[in-house]
Amino acid sequence: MDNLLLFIDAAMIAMFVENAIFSRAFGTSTALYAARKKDSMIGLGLGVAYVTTISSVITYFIDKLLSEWEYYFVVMPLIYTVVIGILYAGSLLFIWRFIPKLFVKVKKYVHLSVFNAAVLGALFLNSVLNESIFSYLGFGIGLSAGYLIAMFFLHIANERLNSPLIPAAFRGMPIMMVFIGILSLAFYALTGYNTSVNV
Amino acid sequence: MAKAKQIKNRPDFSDFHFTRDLLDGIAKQNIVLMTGLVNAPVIIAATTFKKGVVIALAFAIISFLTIMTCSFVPKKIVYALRIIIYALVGSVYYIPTILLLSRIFPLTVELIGIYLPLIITNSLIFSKTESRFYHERKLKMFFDVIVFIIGFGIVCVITGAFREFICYGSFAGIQLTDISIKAFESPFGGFILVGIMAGMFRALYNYLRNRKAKYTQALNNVQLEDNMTSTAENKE
Repeated sequence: MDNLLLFIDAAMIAMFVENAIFSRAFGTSTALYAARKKDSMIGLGLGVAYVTTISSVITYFIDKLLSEWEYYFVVMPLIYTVVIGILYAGSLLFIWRFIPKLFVKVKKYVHLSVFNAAVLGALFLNSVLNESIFSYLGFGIGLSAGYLIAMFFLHIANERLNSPLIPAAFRGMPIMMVFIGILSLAFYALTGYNTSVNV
Repeated sequence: MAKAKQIKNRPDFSDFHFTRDLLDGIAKQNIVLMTGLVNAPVIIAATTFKKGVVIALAFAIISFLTIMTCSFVPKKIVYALRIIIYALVGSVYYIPTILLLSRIFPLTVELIGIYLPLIITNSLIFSKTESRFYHERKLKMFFDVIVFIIGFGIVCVITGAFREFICYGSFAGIQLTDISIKAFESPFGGFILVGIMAGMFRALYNYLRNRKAKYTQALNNVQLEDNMTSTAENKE
């Protein structure tokens, strides 16, 4: 029961408090690009979820093994990249061998969902914030779910924010950034954040 | 056949124009304000001048060395696998970079936290290399990479300095005023600030480009009129 609570707690924190885009800006450029089309948004979201979840479990054991080492924080990115790289190559090989139709569909943008700041960022945050394997797993799943939710918001806003009513210079990336900023403020309010404005 | 046609139609970046290429990397295709390829470190971590400088330095060292090294990776290897090599090379270069920066700016490196290692997954390494840098000759690529990195560095340092001033009323740790709008230190402040900066930068860039185009057209018209007048005079 405690483990289930740990899992849910970590997942909720990752989804709302540490949201990949609104709180951490992980993979924002990729999300902005993928949010233009529904298919690519779902594909990217599922790809991030798959890699984050499995690599969270693997890195839990590596973290436990090496966390006492003085220079672990220096080699951590290299170790995490090796883990992600092996997972990516293995999965790609599996799809190529057994599901060739899917391989043709995903090979053009699959790298975006693997070598993405959202995946690496989730692993780094896991090593800082979590202790047990259940919280690692919950955080991995929650962060990728939060990433998908954020992309869904961007997808909804994308068409409306590209209208001629927006000044030409702000159309596209600038207005999307402002939109993310406002949603980010809403997420902060949701978690009980108070701004200290003293002019 | 289609592939051969695609290769033939690839833009040729081998011609070198110093001013054009300089403006291209710093302004026209600035990776933060114009294309938005790299923005997480600027939005979240660049909240002071010093942090901006450290992020810009780390970005410059890691990106430059990774892009230059990976340009020797054979193109025969499919992109899906080549990208693993890029990521590994980036994370290897991260090690001496972080050790060096930790010696010079120990506290700032600690404060920036996970946004320094995240530089190894930046889109300049994964996307811009394939769409631009690796189509160019080595010397041109060398210059281009430096210019794009400078473009990022300028925006990162300016954003850091501006946020420090507006949040704490100081610049590089020196207290200047009592202004304190702490909201700009937060992620939402970062997003809104970068969005407004990008919009204003694009407006300024478009204005200057249109003005230059109008000036060039006016100059051409004057030259055309001069030519017509001299031709008419010669006929007479």
